Amino acid sequence: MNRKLLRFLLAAFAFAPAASTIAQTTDYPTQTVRVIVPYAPGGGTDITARIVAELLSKEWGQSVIIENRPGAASQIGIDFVSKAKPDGYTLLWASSDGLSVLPAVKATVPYKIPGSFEFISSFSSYPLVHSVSAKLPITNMKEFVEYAKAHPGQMSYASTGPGGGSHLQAAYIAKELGLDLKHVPYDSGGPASVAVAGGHAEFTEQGPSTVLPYIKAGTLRAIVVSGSKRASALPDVPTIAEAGYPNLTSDLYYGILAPAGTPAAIVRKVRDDVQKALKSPGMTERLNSLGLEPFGLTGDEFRTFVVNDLNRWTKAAKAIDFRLSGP
Amino acid sequence: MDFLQSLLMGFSVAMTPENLLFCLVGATVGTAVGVLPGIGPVTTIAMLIPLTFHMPAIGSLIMLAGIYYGANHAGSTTAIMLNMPGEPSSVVVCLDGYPLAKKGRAGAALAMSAVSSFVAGCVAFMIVAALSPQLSHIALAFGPTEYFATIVMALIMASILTDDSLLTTLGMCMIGLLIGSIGTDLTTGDERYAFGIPSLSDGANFVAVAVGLYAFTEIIEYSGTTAIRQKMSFSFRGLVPSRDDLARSWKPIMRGTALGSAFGIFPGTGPMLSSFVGYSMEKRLADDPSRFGKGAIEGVVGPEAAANAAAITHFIPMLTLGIPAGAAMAIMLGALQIQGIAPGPGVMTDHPALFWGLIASMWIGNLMLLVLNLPLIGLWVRLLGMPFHVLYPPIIAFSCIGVYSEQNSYFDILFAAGLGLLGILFRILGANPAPLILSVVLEPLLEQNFRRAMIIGNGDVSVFLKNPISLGILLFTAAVMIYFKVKKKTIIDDVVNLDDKAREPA
Repeated sequence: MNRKLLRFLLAAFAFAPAASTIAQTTDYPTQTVRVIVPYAPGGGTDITARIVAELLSKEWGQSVIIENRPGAASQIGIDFVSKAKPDGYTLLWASSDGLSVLPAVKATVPYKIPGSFEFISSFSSYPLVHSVSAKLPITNMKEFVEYAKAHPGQMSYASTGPGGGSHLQAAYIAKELGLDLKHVPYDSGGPASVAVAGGHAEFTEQGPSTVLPYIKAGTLRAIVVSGSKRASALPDVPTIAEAGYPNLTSDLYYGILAPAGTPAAIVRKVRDDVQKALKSPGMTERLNSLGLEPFGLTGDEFRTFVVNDLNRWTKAAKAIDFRLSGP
Repeated sequence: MDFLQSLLMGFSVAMTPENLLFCLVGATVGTAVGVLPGIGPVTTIAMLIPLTFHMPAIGSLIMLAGIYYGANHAGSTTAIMLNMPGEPSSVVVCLDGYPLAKKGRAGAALAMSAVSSFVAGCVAFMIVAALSPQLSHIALAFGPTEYFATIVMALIMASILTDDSLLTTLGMCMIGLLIGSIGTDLTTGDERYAFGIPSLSDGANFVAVAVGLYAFTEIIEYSGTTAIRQKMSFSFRGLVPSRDDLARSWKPIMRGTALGSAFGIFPGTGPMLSSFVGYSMEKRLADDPSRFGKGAIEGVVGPEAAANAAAITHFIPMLTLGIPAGAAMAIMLGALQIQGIAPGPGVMTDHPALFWGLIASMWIGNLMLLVLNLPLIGLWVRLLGMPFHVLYPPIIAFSCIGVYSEQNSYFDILFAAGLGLLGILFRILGANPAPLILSVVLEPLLEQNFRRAMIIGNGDVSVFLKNPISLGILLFTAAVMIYFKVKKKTIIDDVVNLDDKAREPA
């Protein structure tokens, strides 16, 4: 009897903390949740984060605020979250450039992929559209290669900055296809597209949202898309794999992460509600209008995808012998 | 007929009660956040974006645009009243606006700046309506070579901003270019002069530079004076612009408007360049250039008109090329994309109601700003009547919050403080920091475009002379320099300048 009571009490004590964490996590969130966006307001990462934060706010009855912490190619914001208290109240909304491109080209980044984070869920993906100036007599990948071989050292590509996906993809294409191309860096997608549309550079690798208006206006021509599937915004444009270069396939993505050590129940709750947001009515159309596709990998799937992507970009950076310095 | 149709359509869109309300809300919120340092238009627009998800595209854009130009306008208010430029385009307003305020003529300066903004807005609106289809092609023709030539022109024309000797001005430009070169090298991605400090890796924070060199310097200099300086004198007569002000102002307003409308078409830099070049143009054309820097009303209204005209014509490259003039504009482009409208060449033809409605709303918004701001002038002037030891501590606090909130960086506050000390050194040496600020902002553009032109041209410097547009711009710049040298640099002028300097050090 006494023993039974003792056992019961011990068991009760043992389970008490567990029970209280369950109570806590089902309560989550009990205060404002901040989602760190490692870019300045206005870009694709920021826009998608704001769309999701608004839906999560409604779902949770708590404010979910976006905090922009831009700088050093998104390293500052990502680093901030990796060192934040893992209590579920500081989350990260990041893109491939910070998670799998930057660590591939920079000697040291202050966070570890995947070690520093809990991978909650990816949200959307987009391809890089290989677009040439419409002034050039190029309509497919074969003609592109022929033209580039006929004009060695004369063709240049406009990128969104050194060490980003836009630069690496173009440089990797040049390397794999044996082309002699020049890199003209811009600081963002808009000016880089304009440079090619105006004929000041020959081609650019960018997400559909930036180049689509120029493709419609006839100043840029889409040759291939880098994604594993065709882009819904450009259904007639073949993928780079269809054009014969499967090893150049790359899907860029946006997703939500938490600092490593965030309680599993919180990660699960955020994941379920982000997935719910992704499946909410009209979301696919909304993403498509931004040149994005729904892309809802969860947990380990998302983690594996990011690690594979990081390995691919590391290989690309080695192949083109490109390294970024800096802290 | 196309022109009138566009105009009418724009107004019919902007004049619906709903859109008028959005415009009023935007202009009011913009004025409020522009006057309160610490919360800028960028933060405000970003915070309001989720609200616009459920608003019609045109309404949300009208409201966000209202915040943008409302805050811009208020930025000139703080420049005149407190010598604190809120953004690059209001730096030059400090040059003569603040001396006017010190003379007790803040009211007149504020009123005239509001009027000049409005007039410039009206004219620029007409220009956009008449010429925009043609104008959007010009911007596409501009590549790195053409941009480089344009920026050289702007730097040279604006380097005659101040009365300082050529050596001093060039020296300030060089220091500015050095500060501007802090940050990540655009070609290699390597960091320069960042010393491992994260907030320097994307370049020196403009707000920190401006607050340091203007607001902090002003406060340090005041604290250094042993005698308690008297309050800024103010009288009610000073509130109303005099007949003389009006007579002096109308020509600069017209010139500034013409200049700003033309410069606004350049993607990215239009409004800021316009205000700087507008100022130096007025100074060069004035009968008595020595009045500039000491409270010449022309030095306020000219650049103010130029900046505002440019802000309106700037909507052409922004909407048709998707290149924003600054952080606030970048978020507006984001808001546009959320509504399913991609900025690009199609905006004007696919969404004419949105384009013209927005432009028309800017005109209406400027009228609202005029009505909102004129009654407030008395209040601002009374605020200045407060003793400095009451006024300055909150200014320091708000400035620090403003600098911090740009990048959430404590280092930026220290950086601003350091520049404040540098600013004191400049005051002692009698060197005006305006050319420095301009160089800080223009350095990245100058360097990046030069290097792009070199990459594309395989390192051949003669590309700048082979390209017809850049050759034309460079020849024009040379012609302007020679013209002013012949016209203005007489011995008498030099004597007058020397004389002034002798009497009024610093």
